[in-house]
Formats: sequence, structure tokens, C-alpha cells
Amino acid sequence: MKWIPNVFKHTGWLTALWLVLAPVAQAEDGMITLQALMIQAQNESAPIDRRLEKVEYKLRRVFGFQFYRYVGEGNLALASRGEGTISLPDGHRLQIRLGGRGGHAEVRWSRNNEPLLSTSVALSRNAPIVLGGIPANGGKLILVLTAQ
Amino acid sequence: MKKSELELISRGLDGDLSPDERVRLEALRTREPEARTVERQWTVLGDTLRHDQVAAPDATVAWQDIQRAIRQQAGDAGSASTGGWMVRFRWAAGLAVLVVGTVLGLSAWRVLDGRTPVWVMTDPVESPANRVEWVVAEIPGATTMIYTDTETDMTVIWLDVAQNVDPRDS
Repeated sequence: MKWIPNVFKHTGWLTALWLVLAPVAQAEDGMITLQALMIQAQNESAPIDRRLEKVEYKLRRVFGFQFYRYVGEGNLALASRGEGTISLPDGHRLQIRLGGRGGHAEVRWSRNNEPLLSTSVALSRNAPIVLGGIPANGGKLILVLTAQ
Repeated sequence: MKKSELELISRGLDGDLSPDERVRLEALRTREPEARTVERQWTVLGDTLRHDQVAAPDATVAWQDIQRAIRQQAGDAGSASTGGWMVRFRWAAGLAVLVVGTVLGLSAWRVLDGRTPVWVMTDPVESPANRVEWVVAEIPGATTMIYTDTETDMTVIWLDVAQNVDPRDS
């Protein structure tokens, strides 16, 4: 068993490296940024908005609307089991609670404290989840929620 | 002295003489003083050898010595290769200790921080698409549709309220 002290000798520098890097990894770990983008889908003409350039082409693939108008957006940073609210224009709110296995999130969409939609999803990073269908101003409201 | 006379002395010391040869040896002793000297020297030499006689090596003991030497030689060769293996084992063991220590350390850290251990994976998963578990349309009469577009990884939860008169719709 003479090798036991040598094991610790060989791994000494690796352990030191871990002690230095682990807090950094922890600081990065566990926080999830959620972005909610509020959009009105409509067939009436709307100007091109660069704030939608990352999602508009995706929405065009899925929906039959010709134009998409930027309404507003909000962000929220949560811990793995955190809970918070994203406030959006016209009294819209997204209440989000993270927790459980597999990055699950419970999302409640309300307008002026009146519930519209509740759902539970297993979030994937950078894969948008789209809540929509609420009639507004001759079109439909869409919320694009992305976890980063 | 002749060779035959020396042989006669030697055989006399060994006790291998016939009666005739004994007579001849006795005549030689009487006639040749050198013969008596040689016989006396050989007698002393024989006594000395018999007195200091070294025991012949035992065959069993000798074979055991040989086997021991073979084992020792094989052991030396084996320890050379074992040494290399031990070096690799030390590194492997060191890395294993580091990995286990890292996982346990991070887990303890998260638990102490009020979070879930690493292996429970509460963060968003890296799979391409979201997975919808359940949806409740809170607007009376509204229905929901769920659709995932595999090309954009976009998951759509769509409320169909077109057939309803929604008083909250401005």
C-alpha cells in the first residue's frame, strides 16, 4: 500500500485546481434566464422590426399570419427552484415557477389578474415555447418564452 | 622411481595387493628409501583428506536452491512490469478520487445552498425541444392545441377561442 501517498501527491494539483474552479462553476450553475417576447400576429401590414428577427422566421413557418408586430418583452433570472413574474404590456403577466426533475416549469399566463392559460413544460435551453391564440386588435397575441 | 613402483605403493595403501605383490612392496621399501618417503607422504595426505572431507551436496537441497533462484529471477522480471502498471494505476486511482470528490463536493455544495444535487438535473435539459406535460385553458370554452416544429424546435401551445365571446378581449 505504498502507493497511497503517491495518489494524493499526483492529484494534489488537480484538487487545488478543482478548489479554484468549483466556486466559479457554481456561480455559473443553477441560474436560468427566461425571456418572454410578446408579439401580435396579424394579417394587417406591420413594419419590419429588428427585435423580432430571431423569431419571426420561425413563426412564419408555423403560423399562417402574414405580419408580426412587436408588443413588448421581459426577462427573468431564476434559480433552479425559483419563482417569479414577467410583466408585459396591457396587463399581461407570466408567472413562472421552476422546479422538479428535468427543468420543469409551471407557467401561468394572465391578463389583468384574470387567468388565460396554465401549463407545465420540461424546458429546453434555447428552444422557444410559444403560448398564443388570445384575440387582440384583430389579430392574435403570442408569447415566445425562451430559457437561456 | 618407476611408474610401476608408484602404482604398487598406491595399491598397497588401498589394500589391493596380492601376497606376491606384498612381497615385492616390502622388498621395495627395504631397497628404496624414496619409496618409504613417498608411501609416508601419501599416507599423511590420505589421512588429511579423510579428516577434512566436505560432505557431498544433497541433491534435494541443491534442487530447492535452483528452484528458489528461478523464482527469484521471475519475480525480478515481474516486478519490473508491475512497476509500470502501478504507475498507471496511481493515475487512474487519482483521477477516480478527483471525479468522485468533485461530484460529492458539488452535490454537498448544492444541498447546503438549498438546491438539488447535481445528478437530479433540475436545470433546463439540452434536448432539442420542450416537452409539454399539461395545459389548462382558463378561458371558458376555449380549447388548446400543442404542436412542435422539429425544424425550429419551437413548441406551440395554442388557445382556440375563436368560437367564444371573450369579455376580456379588448
